[in-house]
Amino acid sequence: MNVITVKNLTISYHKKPAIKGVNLNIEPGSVIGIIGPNGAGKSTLLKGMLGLLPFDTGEIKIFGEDIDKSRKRISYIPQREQFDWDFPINVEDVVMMGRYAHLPIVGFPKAGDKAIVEQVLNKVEMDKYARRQIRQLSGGQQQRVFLARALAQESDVYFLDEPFVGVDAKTERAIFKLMKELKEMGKTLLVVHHDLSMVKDYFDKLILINQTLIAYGDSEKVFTPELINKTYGGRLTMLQKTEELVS
Amino acid sequence: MDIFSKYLLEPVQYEFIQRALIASVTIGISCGLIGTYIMLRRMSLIGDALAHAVLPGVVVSFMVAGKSEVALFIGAVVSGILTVLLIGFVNRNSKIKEDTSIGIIFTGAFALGILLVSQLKQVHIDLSSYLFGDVLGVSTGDITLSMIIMVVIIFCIVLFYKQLLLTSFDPTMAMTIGISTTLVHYMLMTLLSMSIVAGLQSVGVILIIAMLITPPATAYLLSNNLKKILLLSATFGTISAITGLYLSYHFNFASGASIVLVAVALFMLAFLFSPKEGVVTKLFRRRSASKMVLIEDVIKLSYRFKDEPGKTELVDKIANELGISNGRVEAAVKTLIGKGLMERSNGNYLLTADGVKYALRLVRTHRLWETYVTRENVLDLEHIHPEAEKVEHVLTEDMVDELDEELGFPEKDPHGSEIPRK
Ligand SMILES: Nc1ncnc2c1ncn2[C@@H]1O[C@H](COP(=O)(O)OP(=O)(O)OP(=O)(O)O)[C@@H](O)[C@H]1O
Ligand SMILES: [Mg+2]
Repeated sequence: MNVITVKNLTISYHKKPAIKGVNLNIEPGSVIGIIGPNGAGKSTLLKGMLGLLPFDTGEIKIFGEDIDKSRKRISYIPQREQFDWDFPINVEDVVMMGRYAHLPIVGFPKAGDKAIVEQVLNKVEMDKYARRQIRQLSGGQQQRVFLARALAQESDVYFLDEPFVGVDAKTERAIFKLMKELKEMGKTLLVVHHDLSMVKDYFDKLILINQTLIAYGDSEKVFTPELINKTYGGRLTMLQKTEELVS
Repeated sequence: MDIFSKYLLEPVQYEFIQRALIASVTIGISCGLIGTYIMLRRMSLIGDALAHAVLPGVVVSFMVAGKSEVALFIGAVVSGILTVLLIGFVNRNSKIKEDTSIGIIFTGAFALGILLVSQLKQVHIDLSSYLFGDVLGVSTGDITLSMIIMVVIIFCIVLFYKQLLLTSFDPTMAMTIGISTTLVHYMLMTLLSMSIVAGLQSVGVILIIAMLITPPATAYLLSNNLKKILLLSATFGTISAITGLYLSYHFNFASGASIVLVAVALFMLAFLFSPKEGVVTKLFRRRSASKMVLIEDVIKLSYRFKDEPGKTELVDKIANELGISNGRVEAAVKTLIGKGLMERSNGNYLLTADGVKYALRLVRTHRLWETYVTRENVLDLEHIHPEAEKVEHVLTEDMVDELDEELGFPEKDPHGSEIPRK
């Protein structure tokens, strides 16, 4: 069965469409990159699939059901800029938020939830920092905390918005390793990415988008100069030219 | 002792003071708790707006039911919620930004309230006590009302702690797991209107916003932990209200103003002297840190120069090396002698055995750190020295051991110098 089915999805901000008529069938157990230039609608597509934005036309099913019925099975790691890093909260408490989806409306975390938090913090090697306020972490460490939070959610589909931006080499390796592990467990990962290096190493499949869906398929088949050119609307050739000049 | 009982205890025998005290505690707690969320969600503007906007509700309740606490409560909360809805409506249906629509709606509502009061000649309503607060005039009914409000607020914050936390910190995730941010917003707005009603009689419409944001801001400067901030904020609110009450009683000050000034005074104290963030504290810390750095540099250099036969004196050499005056080095040496790390023999300054140990520890830290940054490829060799120079003064012994282990107990640093063993 498909994990996510998107039919004819159009989403607009103030009547101006950000994505138009997108169709996708996403199968389980793969790491999928969402690639496109700035403003292409990558974040919009992600938020649309998460049911965070109202859409003009179209339909989205997650595990064949309405998004509201599958909320426990999805988790989302937003772009890092959107947080107030001075918020009075420590690493442990951020990760505990991952358990909220599993708690009753007025319930408090139990020993089992605490054990899970500890375990995922270990996994991303952040257990030493459990009581640190989040401002007092490096960019890579902050990213790993939010990864841990998504892991604590124990969901089946992971949506990651630009997880590799502003992280150190160690975190990049850690994220990559985790993505592989999750895939082997049969989970599905959708990852927004706008850097073209490493694309083939990171992703099994690619969604190329620039307002409309340009292509969707195996990285090997879709990551071609023609399609990339089409996605980046000629901007890449400029880039390539400059690169040639520099090297 | 006499003064204490005269100024603090004597007034308590009066019933109106007892009522005022209870009112102070309840508004301190209610406003302190709700205000913490208002501050964290950057909603102080809407807090102020709501405080003003409850006025027409209060006046209408007077016109309909006379002086009745229940009517007052309903009137105030209803006009508060209507204001929030109206602000949201204007916001969604035009390109006007939120702060502007808040400004328009609340001044409009407040003006409406004043207009109604001026038309209300036959009913006596003491507008000034609503505007400026009169904690000494609190009635039994007011107290019952504000106690109920306090209990409801505490209850909601405990029960919905998760939802309030998540929607404040990461509303996007809240939505992805199916928490309605709108619902939480309206719950908070209702509680906010209620806490405003509770503070109306004691602090007044115009200054109540201070009770909502000043104690939380003070607490925020002192802690990084939400639960502690909530507790501290309620405490500061209560302290401000009680102190303000006494000032108002003894000196006949307007109670709202004196309560708020106490709250601001507490804020200024935290701003200047908070152990972590205080402006003055930071100044002192920087001073003592740089003194520490100087002392450690003197130890290290004394160690380095210990076997050098020289005509020049140790103090001169160190002063030269560090580029500072002999006087400052002398002072540091004196401190070190006081700590038993240096001694004077035959007119020369020498490190004691403890001093040598200390020096070796510094050298070890410095060289391990250099090794670490080179291995991790953080910086290139030319730049690492100044960095390591700073780090050696802050790493604790445990951290250095950990570093040593992580590096596999290296013998030489990247410059080829030997790393002293422990
Ligand atoms: N909240 C918003 N209100 C109005 N317009 C928006 C909003 N969010 C995005 N847009 C517009 O929609 C388009 C797509 O934005 P989106 O954030 O989805 O792009 P993106 O591919 O994620 O870009 P980036 O690489 O910069 O993150 C852009 O033109 C953007 O200006
Ligand atoms: Mg984006």
